[in-house]
Amino acid sequence: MGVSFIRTIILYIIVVAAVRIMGKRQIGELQPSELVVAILISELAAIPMQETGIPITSGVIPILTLISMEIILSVITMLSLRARKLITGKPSILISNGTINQVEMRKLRFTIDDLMEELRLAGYMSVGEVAWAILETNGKLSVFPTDDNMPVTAKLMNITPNSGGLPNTIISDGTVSMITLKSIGKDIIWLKNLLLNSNLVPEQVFLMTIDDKENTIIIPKAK
Amino acid sequence: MKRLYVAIAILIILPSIIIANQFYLKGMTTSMTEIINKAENNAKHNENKDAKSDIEKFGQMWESNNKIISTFARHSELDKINESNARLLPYLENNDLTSFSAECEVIKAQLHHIMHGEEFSIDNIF
Repeated sequence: MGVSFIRTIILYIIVVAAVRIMGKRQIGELQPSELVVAILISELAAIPMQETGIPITSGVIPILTLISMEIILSVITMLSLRARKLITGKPSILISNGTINQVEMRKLRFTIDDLMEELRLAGYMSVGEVAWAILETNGKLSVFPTDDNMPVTAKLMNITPNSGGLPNTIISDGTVSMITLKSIGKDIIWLKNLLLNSNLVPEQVFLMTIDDKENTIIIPKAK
Repeated sequence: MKRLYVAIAILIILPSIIIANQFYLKGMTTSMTEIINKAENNAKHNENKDAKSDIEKFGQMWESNNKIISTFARHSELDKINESNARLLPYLENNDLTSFSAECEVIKAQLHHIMHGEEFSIDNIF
């Protein structure tokens, strides 16, 4: 049992390091080759974890090899358009100018129910609201509405938004981020004075953010 | 690009380790098989004292190599050699040469099997 425990820790570290080496892209969207690698890694790590009679290297060596191959393959697909098409495939247009491409759907074995489900998930109730639907190489459906169903944007309404930019977190769960304070050109005295207006000290604040226009959000800790 | 270099480094280091491992295995199995053969010959010529010292030498050698081999070979295969190795001395002390010889053959076959299992060969790959 002790051996399994230590092996699990070692393999956990290796698998986490492996996913980290593969990059952030892996977590959000899996291309076909990445999906294969993810499934294989989980299997490879699980076997030596349970079977102490199998050397740990029989799991580690294939994992390292798979990751290396995956990285090399991703670099090749990045550099070569032909390789990219071959390995990751190309997006398929399922709805083109409001017309369903039935031939393409049959080719992809994509049923009308699948299409409707994806459209509903994207926030559209009817095919009539959609101008373009593209099935991406990672299996996600990108949906673009017809002009009359486009969401209203500030540009359409000729409005200049009064955005304060990305808010910076100054206090998180009572802890002041001195780095953030310095980056916005403020100091702890300014912060304490600001909080004093709300009868608070930094330790009593759950979350405090500030944007470029110095708009602050202060949420006190629950008592 | 840093990741690419890591990947290339892994793909260089791993085959290097595997090739070095094959050389090590070949050398180890050859020298251990030679000792077993020597012990078997000595036992056949009723030189039990020499056979005993050969077996002890084999035991020591196996002990030191076992730690390295266990990092890549299935432990059940190593256990078979451990069991046969434990039987060798009692067989020799009881003058049971047939069983002694049989255990020597088992050890040789097992050593060959471990070495063969790690070789780059068509039957291993497929």
